[in-house]
Amino acid sequence: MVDRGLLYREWKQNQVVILLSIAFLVLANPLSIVNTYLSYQGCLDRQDPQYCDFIVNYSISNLIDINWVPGVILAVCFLGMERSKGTMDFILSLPYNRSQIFQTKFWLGGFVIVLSQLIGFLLAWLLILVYNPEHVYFFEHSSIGVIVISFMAFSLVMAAGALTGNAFAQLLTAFSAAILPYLIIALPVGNLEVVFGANIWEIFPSPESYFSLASNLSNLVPISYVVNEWLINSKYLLLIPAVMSMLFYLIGFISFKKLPSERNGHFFLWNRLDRPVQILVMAFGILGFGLFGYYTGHSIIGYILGMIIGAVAGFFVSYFSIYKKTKV
Amino acid sequence: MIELRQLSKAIDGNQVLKDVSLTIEKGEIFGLLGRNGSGKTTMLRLIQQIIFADSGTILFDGVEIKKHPKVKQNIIYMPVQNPFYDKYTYKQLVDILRRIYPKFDVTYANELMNRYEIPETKKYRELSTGLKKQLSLVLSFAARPALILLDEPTDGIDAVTRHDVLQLMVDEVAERDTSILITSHRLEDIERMCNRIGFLEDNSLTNVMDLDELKEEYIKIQMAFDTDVNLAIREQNIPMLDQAGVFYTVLIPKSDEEKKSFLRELKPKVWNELPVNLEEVFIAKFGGKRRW
Repeated sequence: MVDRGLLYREWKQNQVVILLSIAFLVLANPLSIVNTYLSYQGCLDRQDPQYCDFIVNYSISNLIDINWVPGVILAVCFLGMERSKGTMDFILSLPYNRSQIFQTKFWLGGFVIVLSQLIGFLLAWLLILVYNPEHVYFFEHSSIGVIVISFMAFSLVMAAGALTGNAFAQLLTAFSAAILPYLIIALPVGNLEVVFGANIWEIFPSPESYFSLASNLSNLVPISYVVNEWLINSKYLLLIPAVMSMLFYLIGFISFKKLPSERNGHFFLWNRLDRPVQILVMAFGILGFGLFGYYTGHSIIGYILGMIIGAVAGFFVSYFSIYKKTKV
Repeated sequence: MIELRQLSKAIDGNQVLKDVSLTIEKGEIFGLLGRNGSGKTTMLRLIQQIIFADSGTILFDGVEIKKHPKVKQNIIYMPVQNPFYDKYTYKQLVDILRRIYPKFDVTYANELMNRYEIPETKKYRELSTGLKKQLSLVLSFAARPALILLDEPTDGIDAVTRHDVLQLMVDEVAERDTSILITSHRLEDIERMCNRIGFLEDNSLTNVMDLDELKEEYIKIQMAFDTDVNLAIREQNIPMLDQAGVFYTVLIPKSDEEKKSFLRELKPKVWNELPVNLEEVFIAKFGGKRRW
């Protein structure tokens, strides 16, 4: 499945970014604890000990909350940058099939993300034993959760990289996919509210049922996992990003195997995606700018003006990003 | 060795290759000619499976490459530029390639590096165009392939380096029976190296010919006349390579006695029959239309 020669090539090609990712992912978790400990020590130096607590609480903003960033960077380096720099041709010319190439890239990144964070988790656990804080909140839940979420982010950007022909397109597609459920559901609903002058929650039996549904739907939006609000929910919620990871992996694997590589430099490798995606971008532009126009002055004129601006902006943005080939 | 069967490929709706078939035997050097955009590079990329053909098959020693990509251990593709090499030194590249190509011969690579005095400690991107081509060739040959696909290997390099690059290829074929498929705009390079040539034109591979036989087919005649015979020669559709005053140089098939008699009837004062080169043959064969 993963060839040693290919693995070595990937390692040499992305040595710096892999090492930096490992360093960050290994150190982020223990450094958070060290930071909390140093803050506690600082407090003890300045104030009476009764006013100082040594509490490790992972629900408060923590360095490991951005552990998904190395996943994104690795995926862009593995696919988008290879296509943008023109080095993908060299890999494809080697004596391996496309499945092997994708598997090698994917699992190299996957192991870097998962193993580094597991080591970081272990180090943090040892530090907790050594420092012996008064309370530790959400340590396991948060540490394991960010592994799942960073793996999902990596899978998502890898899938986007397998569909697109350059690094910019990869990032834009990944971001769009990360907010796609919001774009598909919330934008049209918001526009319906404007057109019919009603609030959507009014058709629900109670406001609570509406907010409950909205909250549940937001769990399907990959970007919602960037902030650690998932910590206050059930641990089983992490099954959603885990399933998403598998789905993105499959999309990436099949796309990398099947899509034509002669379109490197273009936005989409499969040119049949160009037109439907352009129409979608324009539709989102119309709906998004329309809402923005309405809420600036709460007037229908603002709404219509916003829609016109959205249509024009959507057209030009989609035209220049999708139809103009990047130099490779 | 390598066999292309009914290969077709369209890119972004444009047909680039249509039903192209070709076989290259062991130890053969095949020259692929064609204008810019005729599909020469596409053909090499198809063989190496960088892109996939819409239809047709490519076989290496009877094995379909698409289904068994491991046979590409015997095939090396040297593109015009290889951005992957840029950030590495020779040693680092050897370190990478020897893990991918099991037959990679480090001793032979070192020997060639010394022979051609290529700096080993500089990164690939720091080398001149000629040295880059030489280093790429050294690495390609050191992988001990049975077939090398060379895309414009002499493009952008000076005459001395070109000589070295060509010599390296000729030596390799002579010593190891390696087959080479080469694309080039330079007919003199093709002429010097190739056994056979073929033209990619209008999406098809045409005029696949043995080079020596081809050159034997034609004769170049230098003549001097008292009067202006330009129109008379052209009316007979005889390709004229050159005219300087009363001196005329024309090309005719060796066996075409009718045209030879016609020229003799014009009573030339001077008549010299000379061997031809590839460029002249093409002018004769394709009616003076330069296609490369």
